[in-house]
Amino acid sequence: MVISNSSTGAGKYPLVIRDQFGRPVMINSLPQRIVSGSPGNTELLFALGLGERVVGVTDWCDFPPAAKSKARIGSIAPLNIEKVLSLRPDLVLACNLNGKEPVEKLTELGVPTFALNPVSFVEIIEAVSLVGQITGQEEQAAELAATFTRTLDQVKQKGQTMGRPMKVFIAIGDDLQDLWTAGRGTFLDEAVALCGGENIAAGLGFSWGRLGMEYILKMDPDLILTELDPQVFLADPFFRALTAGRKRQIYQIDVDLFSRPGPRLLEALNELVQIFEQVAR
Amino acid sequence: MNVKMTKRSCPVQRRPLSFWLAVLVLLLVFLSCAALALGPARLSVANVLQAILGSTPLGKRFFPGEIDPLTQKILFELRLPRIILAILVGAALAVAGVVFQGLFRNPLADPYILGASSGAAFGAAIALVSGSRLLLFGLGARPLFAFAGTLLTTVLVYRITGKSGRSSITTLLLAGIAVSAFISALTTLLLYFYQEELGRVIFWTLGGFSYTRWGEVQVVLPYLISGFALAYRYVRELNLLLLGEEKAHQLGLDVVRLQRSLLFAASLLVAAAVSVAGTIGFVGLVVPHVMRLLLGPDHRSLLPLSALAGGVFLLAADTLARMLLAPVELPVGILTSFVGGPFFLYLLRNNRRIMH
Repeated sequence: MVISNSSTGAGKYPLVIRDQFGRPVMINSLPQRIVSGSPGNTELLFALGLGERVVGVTDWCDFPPAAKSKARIGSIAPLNIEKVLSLRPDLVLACNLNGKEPVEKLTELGVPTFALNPVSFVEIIEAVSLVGQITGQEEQAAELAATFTRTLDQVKQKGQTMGRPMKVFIAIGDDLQDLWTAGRGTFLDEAVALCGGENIAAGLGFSWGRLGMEYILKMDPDLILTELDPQVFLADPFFRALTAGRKRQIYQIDVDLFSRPGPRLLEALNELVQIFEQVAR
Repeated sequence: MNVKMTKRSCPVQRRPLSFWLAVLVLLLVFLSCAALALGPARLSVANVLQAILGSTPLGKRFFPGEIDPLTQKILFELRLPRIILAILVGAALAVAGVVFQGLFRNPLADPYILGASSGAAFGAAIALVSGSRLLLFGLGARPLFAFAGTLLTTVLVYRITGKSGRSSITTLLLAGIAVSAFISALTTLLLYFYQEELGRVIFWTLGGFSYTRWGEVQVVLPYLISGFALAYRYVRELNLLLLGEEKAHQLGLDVVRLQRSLLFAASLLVAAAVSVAGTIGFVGLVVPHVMRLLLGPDHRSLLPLSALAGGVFLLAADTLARMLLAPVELPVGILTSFVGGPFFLYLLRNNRRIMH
């Protein structure tokens, strides 16, 4: 497979492509030693069949299991430039979580560094095809992008037939006393909207923040999505009294999947739409 | 009180200035070599020697081999600028500490405790969030904003504390805490509205040298040099201030002007340090005190040797921060606070005994 790629891709390098930070990045040859700057990037690289060519991942990259046997470069931020450099990469796939400084610094040191910055589903699809282009895995990328588009369309269609939009409270955190929520600019918010829900924290001007109890009471969500066991909410008199509590419409979701802009977002999205369908029934 | 304190803590036999100068220079050279040699990328000794010596015309005769480009990059574009910046920032914070302590005539004054660092961090955060890359007179926006923030906070704390002549420890600490808390709250508020910059701003509140580039060394150098020069110009006056504002005034010192110039100098130093390295606590506290113990209160030697010792201290802390959990890097501020926190409590305790 690699042979066919290099034969098809041989003519197109060097290649200059604009990354999602808006910087033109020059890729000299088909990347063979790739370092990933985030768990989402790692998952994307493996999904595009580039696992063999990944030579370094962060300490947080735990999926797919094969990623765990790669050399570790430490934390996502600050990125350990020296460690990255010592792996002699010919491509560093960075992302917004790493910040702009390491991307600039690595570029200055002559390492082709391509930054992904997907904050919406459309931008993920774009990221998939960008990574496909620079690594010569266009076919796999096109396939994954198509799956993304198809799933998004399906979910959107289902969402539109859901009837009256459900008011949703996204409860993040592992303790009722310490609940955070996701607002605009997060995948959770976008996913809820796609499924035909109405995030009660959308339009409050933050992407991650807290909601007052009074506000939650006033909005009276129909559905609560949480990382916790739903029983914890049902045991609490405040949440039990809300519509979501009375109708037992409290569901557990894997928030971690939504914070990794990678291929597994599709799974997460499918699970979420199932929850909505179940509630609508 | 200050005079009393220094007398009390002064060792019986004081070694000559040249002795400590030699010790510090040796330490600095040794640590720099160690920091250059150590890192998560294990470089071979042969490659390192080749890269260092082979790049000089004389050394090329003895090391005629090829220079490994990776080794060269890691040494000269990652480790070396980082070492130099750590030394410069450590020196700046230590000198700012000496100046603040002399100015407030208070042993607990330190850029971190006075809120100067939070002011600088706030300024730097604004520069960051506004995404401004503007250069004014060739100076970066970040140190400039940081400077404005520092100047604002220090003048504020100084106004609150300075009214009663020599500032009492309680007033100083409370004013510092209050101003610092207020400014930190502003920074947090900024963070709340610009969450996409969260990571970068948090970097400033924790402090570190992870992404040091030669460009940064260049950007802060004018601030540091003018700060050092200005502070050093007033070493004699700082000595006079030890006698008290009134005495100093009677001896013909323009106290108000002096105070303004010194605040300006210290703010330059703090702003430069914070704008490239974030808020690193306690360097300005620990270093001047240790040097005062070793050298006595004369600012003519205290100031330059504190600069040297500050460089040694922060370089050591940063090297540890790089190495302890490699390849994960610790924020260097955590390490300096580990040393500085307990030291601060020790000073506070000793001071109480003197006062009562």
